[in-house]
Amino acid sequence: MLSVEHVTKKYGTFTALEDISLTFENGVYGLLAPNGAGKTTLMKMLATLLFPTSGAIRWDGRDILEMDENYRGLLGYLPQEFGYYKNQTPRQFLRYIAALQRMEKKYAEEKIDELLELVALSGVRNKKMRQFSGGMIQRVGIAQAMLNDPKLLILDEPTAGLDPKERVRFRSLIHGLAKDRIVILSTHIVSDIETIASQVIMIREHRLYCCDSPANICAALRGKVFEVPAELPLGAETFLLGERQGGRGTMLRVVTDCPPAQAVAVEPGLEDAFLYIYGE
Amino acid sequence: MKPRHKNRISLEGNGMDDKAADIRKDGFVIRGAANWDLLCWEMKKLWSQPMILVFLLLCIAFQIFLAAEDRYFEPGGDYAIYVARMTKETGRRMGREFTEAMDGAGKNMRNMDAKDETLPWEKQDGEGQDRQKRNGQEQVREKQDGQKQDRQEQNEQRKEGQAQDRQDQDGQIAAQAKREQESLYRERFLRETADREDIFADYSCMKLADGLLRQFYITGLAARMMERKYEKQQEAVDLLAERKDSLDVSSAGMTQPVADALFQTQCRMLITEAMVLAMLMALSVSGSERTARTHLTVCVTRTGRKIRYVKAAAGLMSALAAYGMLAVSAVGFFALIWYPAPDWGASISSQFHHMSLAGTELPFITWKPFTIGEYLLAVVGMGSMVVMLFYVLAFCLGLWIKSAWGGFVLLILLVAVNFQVIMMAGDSLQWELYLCAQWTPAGLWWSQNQWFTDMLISGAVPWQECATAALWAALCLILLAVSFHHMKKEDIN
Repeated sequence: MLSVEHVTKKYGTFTALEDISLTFENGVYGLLAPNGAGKTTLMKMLATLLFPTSGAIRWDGRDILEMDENYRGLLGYLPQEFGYYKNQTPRQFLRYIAALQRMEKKYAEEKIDELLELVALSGVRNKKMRQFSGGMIQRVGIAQAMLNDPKLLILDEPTAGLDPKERVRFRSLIHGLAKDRIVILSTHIVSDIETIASQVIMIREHRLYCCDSPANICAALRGKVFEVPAELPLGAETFLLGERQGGRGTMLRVVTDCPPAQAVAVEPGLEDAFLYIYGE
Repeated sequence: MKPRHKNRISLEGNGMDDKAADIRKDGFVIRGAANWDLLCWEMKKLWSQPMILVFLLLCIAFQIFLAAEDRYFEPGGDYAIYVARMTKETGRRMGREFTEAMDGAGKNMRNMDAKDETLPWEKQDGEGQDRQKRNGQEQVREKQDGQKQDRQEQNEQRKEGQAQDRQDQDGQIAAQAKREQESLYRERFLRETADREDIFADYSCMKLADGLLRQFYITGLAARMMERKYEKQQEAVDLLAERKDSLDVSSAGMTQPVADALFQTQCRMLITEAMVLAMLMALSVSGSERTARTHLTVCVTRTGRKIRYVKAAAGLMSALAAYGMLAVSAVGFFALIWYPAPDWGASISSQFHHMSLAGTELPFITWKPFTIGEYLLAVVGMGSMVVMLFYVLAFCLGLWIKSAWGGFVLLILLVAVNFQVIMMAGDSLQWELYLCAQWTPAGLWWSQNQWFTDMLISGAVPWQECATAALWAALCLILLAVSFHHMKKEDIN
């Protein structure tokens, strides 16, 4: 179990995160917030890249900073900007990561072959990564995060730069990996976590806003989300979520307690909740 | 034997059961072997950079160019070779035996001049005459048969004979020139080595000290330190006098140019090149992960921030290996093209070898007696210290500044400031500051041509270069420890 206990992170006078307390158990956690909210800061603290200004992060009751390499040995991390060595092949890169993880060579070779197959890069294992697309690089990143069979997998904006097909593949992959490990993935793309996250963590104004299932988060808006024709005037209490092109022209999606006459109630989605929470 | 389980990662698989725990235990190696593996990886990453190999090759090419220039394009190279050959017969120590041996060698030369024995290149004269005789007889026979064809044949044979004669004449001219050259060299050698005495027999270091203090207006603490230094030097001089090291011929009049070619040119270039390469390597290893944006991935692994220790070691080993390669090529090529010169067993304190200060030539006195070969080894050894110091400084700068080029520029700037302080202190006669400013890695590098000597006005204590190297080695270790300690608690963004 991973627990974050009253963690605050400050850079001088700027507070990036304030008094965050969370508990993680096996499953997928989606860290959902707009850019600059502090998602990456939290992820980096979980990955021991940043040190909390106050508070503690514990793994099974032990401070992760004291655990040192024993904690990092349980950890797999895919950074937001995943760097790589252009002149290396994926196999060479994974061998280097395996050396950094202090894995035995023979065992590492087996794992590397398995992982490259898993992320569908077996055919290009000996090709230099300078020739890879963004999606292929990202898959190498996922493979290296899985190399030491981590109990805690931290993925910072893992679908950035992926096309829709690759994002779907990625979601399936994560779903399968999450059965016996903690997976925390941060994103501002709601659809990435809507279907796979059992818990969604939302950070607002550098503080924890909520940590709940997608259904419960959406339930807060049930009965308040409507679609109205665009030509209808919106009341003062109406919050605009977005618009779409419908059969009858442009339809506005709104949150309101007093729907206009032609409003059609719709089931609120996580994206609606996201837009509403961060739009206020 | 425990079976190794394949921990297949599958969408339906159970990744974290006891089997995985066994694999985790079995699959991770002991720390020492893992660190060695990482060391190899880091060295491979460093040497795979084209910049490093290109720089190394350019350095070697430049060394070869400079060595060849000194040997073949400066006058006197052949004379040095001649001296080296002669000292094999005469011995290297000037004195009575040397003079007798020179006389013996002179007799041989005079005998050869009087043609009491046929020299190898003179054998061709007899053969040429025989050839001429044969040609004449053939011409008579042909004439008796007579016709135009005979005349043509005669002409051809005459031409052939003339060509042969010209070749023989050229050979004679070359041999003659060689004999004349050798004769000139011999005269020069005799002139340079005649009536030489041991310069250290009555040498007074305190007289030199007084002269320096007066000429450069050195007073106060600096003056007292200099006086103490030269008092100590008297012991070294007395030992040299006892051994009569100043009477070593070395390369006679070419000793200074050969020493300059070896120590001023080759050694200085070697140490400078290796120093720059070490700095580049240090900045590369300390900053390469940030450049590739892999620093986050690397620091989150089991090794984590400790990768910096491995990188520091890998870079240092690479820098020393590069230094070794450059040293072998510099010294090797020098020895090859100057062979059999210089006399590696001759004293570095031969009276033909000197230091210069303000146009004055002063004996080259080391704190302990060195042969040329021993002195070269000492210089190469001290050079490796300079390389290590600059490597560590550049590495630490790279860690703190987090920019390879920024670190390089800053280091060059610090060296430039050091030299500026030295110049200003010297110009303004602030000798205490002047002497202090010598106690830096830059000062150590700059004084390379005076290592293991009194270093004239740049030296405050005996063996100053060793003391400077030891001091900075300790400071660099402290700096490294502080840097690593600071980086352990540093946020990585």
